[in-house]
Amino acid sequence: MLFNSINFAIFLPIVLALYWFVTNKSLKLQNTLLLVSSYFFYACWDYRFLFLLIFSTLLDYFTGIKMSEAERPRMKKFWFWLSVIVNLGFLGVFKYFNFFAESFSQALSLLGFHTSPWVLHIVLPVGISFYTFHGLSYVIDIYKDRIRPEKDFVTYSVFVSFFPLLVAGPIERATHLLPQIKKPRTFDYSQAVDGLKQILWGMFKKVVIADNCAYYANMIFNNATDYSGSTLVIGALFFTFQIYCDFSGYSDIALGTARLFGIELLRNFAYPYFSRDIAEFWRRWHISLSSWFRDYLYIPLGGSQGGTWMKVRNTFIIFLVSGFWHGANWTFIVWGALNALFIMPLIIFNKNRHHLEIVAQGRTLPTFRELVNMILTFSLATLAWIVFRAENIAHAWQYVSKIFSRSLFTVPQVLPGKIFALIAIFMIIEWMGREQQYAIARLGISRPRLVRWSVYYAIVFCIFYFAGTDQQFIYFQF
Amino acid sequence: MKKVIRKISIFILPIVVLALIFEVLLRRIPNEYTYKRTYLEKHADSIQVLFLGSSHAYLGINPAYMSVNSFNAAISSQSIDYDLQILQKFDTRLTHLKYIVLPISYFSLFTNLSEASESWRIKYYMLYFQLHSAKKFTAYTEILCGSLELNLKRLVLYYVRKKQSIGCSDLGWQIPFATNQDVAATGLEGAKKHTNKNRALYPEQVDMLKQIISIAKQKNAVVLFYTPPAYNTYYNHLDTAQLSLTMNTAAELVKENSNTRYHSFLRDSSFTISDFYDGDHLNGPGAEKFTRKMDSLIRSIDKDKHLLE
Repeated sequence: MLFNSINFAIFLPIVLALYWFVTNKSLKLQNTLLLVSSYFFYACWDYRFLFLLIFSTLLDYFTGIKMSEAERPRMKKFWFWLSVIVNLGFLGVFKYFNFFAESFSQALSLLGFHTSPWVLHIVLPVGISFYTFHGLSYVIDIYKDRIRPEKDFVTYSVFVSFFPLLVAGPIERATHLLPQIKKPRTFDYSQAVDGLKQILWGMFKKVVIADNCAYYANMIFNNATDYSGSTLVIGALFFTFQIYCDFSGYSDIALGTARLFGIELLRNFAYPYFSRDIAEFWRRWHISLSSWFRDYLYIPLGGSQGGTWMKVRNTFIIFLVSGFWHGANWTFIVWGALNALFIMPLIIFNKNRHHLEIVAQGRTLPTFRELVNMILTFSLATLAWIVFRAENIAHAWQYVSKIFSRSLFTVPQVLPGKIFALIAIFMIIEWMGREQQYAIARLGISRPRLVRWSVYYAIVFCIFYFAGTDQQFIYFQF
Repeated sequence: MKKVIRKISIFILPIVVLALIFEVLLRRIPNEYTYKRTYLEKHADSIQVLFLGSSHAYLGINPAYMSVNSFNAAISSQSIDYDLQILQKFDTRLTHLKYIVLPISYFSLFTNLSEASESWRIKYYMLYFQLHSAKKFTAYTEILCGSLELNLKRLVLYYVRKKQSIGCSDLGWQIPFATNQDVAATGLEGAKKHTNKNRALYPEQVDMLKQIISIAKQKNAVVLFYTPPAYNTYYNHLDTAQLSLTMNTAAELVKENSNTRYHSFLRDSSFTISDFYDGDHLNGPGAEKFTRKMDSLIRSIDKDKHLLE
């Protein structure tokens, strides 16, 4: 069930009505409803994988309890590693097995041994990377004595399976989400209105910008050899906007939907394309994953405590792992490595925490220097996205090589003015709202209702006007 | 909560009202699907040769040049599953049907409408051909299929500019578009577009062809499969494996079924650049030439079969 589908438009009001009108007297009932509707939502993708989700939930629930009950540290360690190995084992089998098998076979053929890899013909369960990381953070936090295990199975299951975040995040933390699930929730008018506005803006990003960019990005990337360097730049730009609007649009809809249930999820994006350096970009892009890697990988590896060399090593590790998390393809690993290289000068010269506040705070326009920095950072991100989007390393290399050819200085063969105009309008709105959690949070807030509603109607009109064929969210494949 | 519901209702009401008005107006626009369904309902019992298929047949077969009662029920992007459904729907009414003529194009066995970029056309089969086979309920509405941009254009063309909305002739042939395309360039593009379609669909598509053959057998009719003519930039850039599989499948079906014939016009040199609308579609004169050839082919088959009166 896609967020941008009619099915979801029917599903959500029904669940909301039951949540606030039928089960509102009992927290237990409300949580049970959330769990049942979340399982229904997930089963709409493929009911067979529901069993995997339930198994993963049961595993982490019981190992969490067993860890807290363990009297000896060895037993605690045993339950911890059981959970980690099984969780990562599932991820490994479903997501990475074929990659390793094929890579091993290729490596053997380089040594002169020609084998055909034994591959599994299985579909990747939607959201597996997200709910596995959910569960892992819970188990690690218990093991590190940061939290107590949740004894109520329904409460814990809602934490793992809450449908707005189930298939593509944000990757929540037990310390943030569990207390909200355990607490009685009362309907808050302003929170609900805020949620609806965020859903509307997420839909706009997804349907109007991402899906329209996707059409041209796919066309150009799939036929890269037929196009000039300048056209390939256009393709890369369209993909840059596609992936941002697709994923942040999804996150907006997820956050907005959760707000309708009185639950606040972690923020996932904070205007990354207005970043002044790559370090800032990574503080603003897929925040819930970046902070997950920071807390559960970077810091346990020693973080920045051991001097420059350790910082460099750990930074490389988290970027490579982060790339690999996205998928079993060398393109993702190279994409991670490329970002690590981009950030390295900032790490080495200790300038990676220079831009903590949003650009041009309290001002209308950025300074010239800020503008140049933003353009440079955006260009580096775009270059890295080419590798991310490419089918394989050869495709990426071919694409980038052709960009830096003489045909870069020709008129692009594909130049859709309508899409450029839409992107321009979108970026202006994003710029105006960059100090808010999402761009239209305070758009026209001080204006009369007629003006505000006109803006909302204009957004609704754009969504229906530019709606094309149903496009999957990119991050569902991860 | 009640305040939010009240406000959402007020906000949504104009959108719903507009959507309903659009839905009614869009449904009132005459289209080829309604025309073809109505034609089949009225004249199915007199049709002897029924042409099915996608745009290759829709543009390429003009039944006005056939010497027997024929009708072209092909429409752009119509895949084999919809050919079968149309045949099933009118099966009992097609009392004099002697030939079912169906293209097996280069891509036919590896694609279907629901997976194609033109899947929004499914609504036409549900709403106007009244096939009722779609699972998605959006396929039973105009407004929820395709973009508002497309639907607004249709409304403006029909209600404001008073443009003719039915693009086919009385016998179901697509009336040629005003301008021809760059035949050589579109041939290359078409070949690329039609290559590497979904191979997983192959068994399903072949099974549906077998069902069509089975229906024809019950009616003592012949199924004539053909691969339509194309310009050299199209056929020279096809994937050999995909093309061989297509042609071998057709040959297998002919071998297994005595009521089945196959003919490939793909590299027919009598079609020159002036016969093509684009690399893989015929224009008006090309359609005339092709239909006359098809008529001769059917006549030659009928010399043995003696099905036509």
